[in-house]
Amino acid sequence: MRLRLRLSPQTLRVLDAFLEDPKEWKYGYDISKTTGLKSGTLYPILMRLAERKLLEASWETAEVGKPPRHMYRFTPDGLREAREAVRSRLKSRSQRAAFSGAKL
Amino acid sequence: MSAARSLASRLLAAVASLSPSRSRPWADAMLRELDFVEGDLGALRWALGGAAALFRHSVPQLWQLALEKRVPVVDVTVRDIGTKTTGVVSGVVFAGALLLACVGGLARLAAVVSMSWGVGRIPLLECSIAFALPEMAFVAAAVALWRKHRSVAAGILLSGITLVAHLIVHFSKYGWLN
Repeated sequence: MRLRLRLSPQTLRVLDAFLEDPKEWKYGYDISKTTGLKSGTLYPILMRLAERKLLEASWETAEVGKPPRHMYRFTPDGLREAREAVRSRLKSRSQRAAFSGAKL
Repeated sequence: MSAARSLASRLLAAVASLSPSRSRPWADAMLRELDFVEGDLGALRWALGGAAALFRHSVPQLWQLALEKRVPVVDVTVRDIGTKTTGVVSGVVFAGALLLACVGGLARLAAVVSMSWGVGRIPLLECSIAFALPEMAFVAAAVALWRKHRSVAAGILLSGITLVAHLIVHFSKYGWLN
């Protein structure tokens, strides 16, 4: 299956963060802390994922007096693609490792 | 709230208010998260990064909006150019008709009258009737029409200027009243 994503190392870090617990909603700042990405890098990735319907976003039902937060989690398509992306990355890593091992 | 955090909040709020509709939820999301960002400097960095991300997200949308708005603008411009051209052409036609009437009618009439009175032809009078009279009429008409029918007035003025230029060239080449 061809992936709809440009898999930069930063995107892979975000996918990894979501894959830790794919069913759970996550907040922007928490993802930023987990991945070490700054808002200027993280949000464009989240926007792209959401626009490609790989991520669903929702406003948290806020407690009284507290402003709601925006939360994100994988859509079924997103989860499938993320798993595929991680699998292909692992595959290419092992191929690279094998190649460099053969060279040595 | 510290000054840095307040500045960060204001920055994101300003960007959120300026963002196109598709970017607005993202701007609000970043603004909400700001309350949870640790440290004032961190909050400022969060806001700056968020503003940059929103800017990049908004630019294609703004381009799209601008292009969508451009179609009727072009349409109006074409219509406007058509109306103005018609006005200028009308002015030129009016000026041409007036000039023709003065040269062919009034100047000849003056020549005939002066001949019949036995004073012979008076070139200065004929020249004044043929050119100075229409020039004055052009200026008067242009002034009168300038506010409401500017393009017609511009056509008349254009004709007047062309006539003056023609006379200057003519007189400089052939001499005064020759």
